[in-house]
Amino acid sequence: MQEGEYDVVKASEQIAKSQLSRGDEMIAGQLVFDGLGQGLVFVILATGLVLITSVNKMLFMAYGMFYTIGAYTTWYVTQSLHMNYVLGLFAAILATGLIGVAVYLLVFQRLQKVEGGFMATLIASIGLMMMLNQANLLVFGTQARGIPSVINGIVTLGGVTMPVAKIALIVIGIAVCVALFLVYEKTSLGRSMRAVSILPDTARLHGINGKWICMISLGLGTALAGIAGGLIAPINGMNTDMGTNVVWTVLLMCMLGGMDSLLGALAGGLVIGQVLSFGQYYLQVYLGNGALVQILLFIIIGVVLYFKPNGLLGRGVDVGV
Amino acid sequence: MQKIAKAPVSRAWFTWLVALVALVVAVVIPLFVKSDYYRDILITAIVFAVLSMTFVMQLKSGLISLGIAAFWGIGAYSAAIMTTKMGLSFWAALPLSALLTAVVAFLLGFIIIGRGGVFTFVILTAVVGMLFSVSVGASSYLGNYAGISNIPSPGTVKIPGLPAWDFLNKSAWYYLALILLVLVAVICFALYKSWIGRAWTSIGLNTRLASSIGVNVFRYRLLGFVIASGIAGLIGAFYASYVVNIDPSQFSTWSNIYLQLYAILGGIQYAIAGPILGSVIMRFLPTALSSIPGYADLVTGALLILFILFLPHGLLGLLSQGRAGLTGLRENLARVGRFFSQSSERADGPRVPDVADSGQREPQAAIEAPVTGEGSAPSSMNKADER
Repeated sequence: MQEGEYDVVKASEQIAKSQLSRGDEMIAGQLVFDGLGQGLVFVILATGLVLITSVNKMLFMAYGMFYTIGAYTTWYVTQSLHMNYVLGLFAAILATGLIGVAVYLLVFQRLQKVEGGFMATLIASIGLMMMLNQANLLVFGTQARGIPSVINGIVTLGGVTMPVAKIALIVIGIAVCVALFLVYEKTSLGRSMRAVSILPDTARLHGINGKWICMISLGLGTALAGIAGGLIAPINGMNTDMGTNVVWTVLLMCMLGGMDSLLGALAGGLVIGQVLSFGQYYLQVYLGNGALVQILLFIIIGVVLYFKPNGLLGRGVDVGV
Repeated sequence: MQKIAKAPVSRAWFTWLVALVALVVAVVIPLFVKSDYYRDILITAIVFAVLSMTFVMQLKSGLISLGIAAFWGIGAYSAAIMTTKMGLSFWAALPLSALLTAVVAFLLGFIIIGRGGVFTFVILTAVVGMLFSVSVGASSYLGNYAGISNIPSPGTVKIPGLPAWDFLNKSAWYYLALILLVLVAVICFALYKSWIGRAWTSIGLNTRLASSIGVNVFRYRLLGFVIASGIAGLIGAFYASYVVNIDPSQFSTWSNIYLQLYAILGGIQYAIAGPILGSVIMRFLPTALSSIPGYADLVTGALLILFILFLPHGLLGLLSQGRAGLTGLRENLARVGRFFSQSSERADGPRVPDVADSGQREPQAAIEAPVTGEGSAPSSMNKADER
């Protein structure tokens, strides 16, 4: 972990500094709001990863690259092709989802059956990560990019400063989560996903096309990473390292909530967003070093996992080694 | 790629001959490789080979560790502190830092291994790895993210009858690395041949069965974790002195992933030869690929994927069944053919035929009730089993 690795942390550090200089009284509300903004992006990422992990039973290290690809696709569509931002978001979803489906069909469906599939998929996903990283550099270049803010304006409510863009991010994030939960809990597709995630072979015996479900869940998961990348692009900007940096945070978040529970991903993302937001501010105030929040974060996760090895809400994923 | 079953059947004298030839080749290589650049690659390859061996050692007892790089870093940092701030010589710091790392691993392992199953271990070691990076980055005594620089070289060693062993050129470093490699290989070999190694293998094959026949799973896993971490600390101390400047980014979790790759590419069944072969190949591959700048990562990634698809048991896995290795190769070539002309019926995944199926993806294990009745050894340390 280098200094620049947590761009999210950096962003909230800037916010904390600006608030320090302002001496705001409504600091708690502000921190909750900021943490919510960060947290919902984390939640989208974490739910995607949970979908992939629980259904496909693999540690998908290439996941962060889809976040990067989503952000850069949005940038390309809006800035180079001069199209609408919403169109850019859809392009990001389409691109990442299709890449996810393609890699499943080409690589991962062959590896899942092999004995020791967990290690095999881990290695293959690392190879995929290297390829996608290089391809991303070749296609979009190495510079950090930014998208001008789509929605301007600031709402002040009871002393809490809320940029409208962030409010929109929160609303979209909640909408995505609700839609995902409806699909997962209420439709037959979601039921099949749950069945495959719990007992894959039994689910197949009951006539569920396991391959199809695995493919859809991988595509859906990567598309969610694409959405998150597209959403974060106008707010934090993007660089080529964003995906490789975020993937560990997201993995830990999923682990905190439970690797096989969407609700757990929601809880993990929100909790970590708030911990980062509050910890950053108060450690900056009292210890003078906001970066210590990372240590705090890892210690919290370690302690929680020590007492609840399957995460807060998880049943526990079984992987063969 | 697969559970480490028994060592592949081969004639013992042939193995020893190969090992001897490899050792002789390794000893004479610096006479032919004069370029410092390639010698540097050789030395880092040895460092990574040792680290991959520690990975395989833990894998034997069924643990995938993402924290090896952190223990490597602990060894490197403790040696750096001992030599730069406490004024110890390198030769004293080398064993001391290995010992210190092992003690840290013992304390951490008590917490990490005592809880949960394999997945929890994976993530908790990843937490340890990242905690190491960020806490070194936050500590000004350890030089924050800039790290520690100007770590002194080892003092000159005078062996009668040989030229003075001073660490001014790369070949002296190479021989020190080689000595450490051989030492670690001998330790590993002795462990694997002993009762300890057999206990590890039994745990890796079937945890519950192993504990039911009286193998204390927690104790043996902890032992493997401590020994592996101590070795990682040893090579870390060497590495710190070799590269002169260390910073936390060298010990990130990504290095950990890479050393896992080396072991798997070489062939996990071969706990000693596999990591060496894999890391030498993978350290030289980017150099070989640098003639196509900008695409090296693309090609490496593609090679990794192809490798895992068509040669899942590693390079040495081709040899594992003796003559049957050729059949295995043919099977793999057939898989290549199937890959390009697949139909939906066949898409159910070609199953590797030569591997005894031990129920890798058995769904029932997802529920995995805690083992009732711990056997006849109600030790206080016996609280840990598979879950």
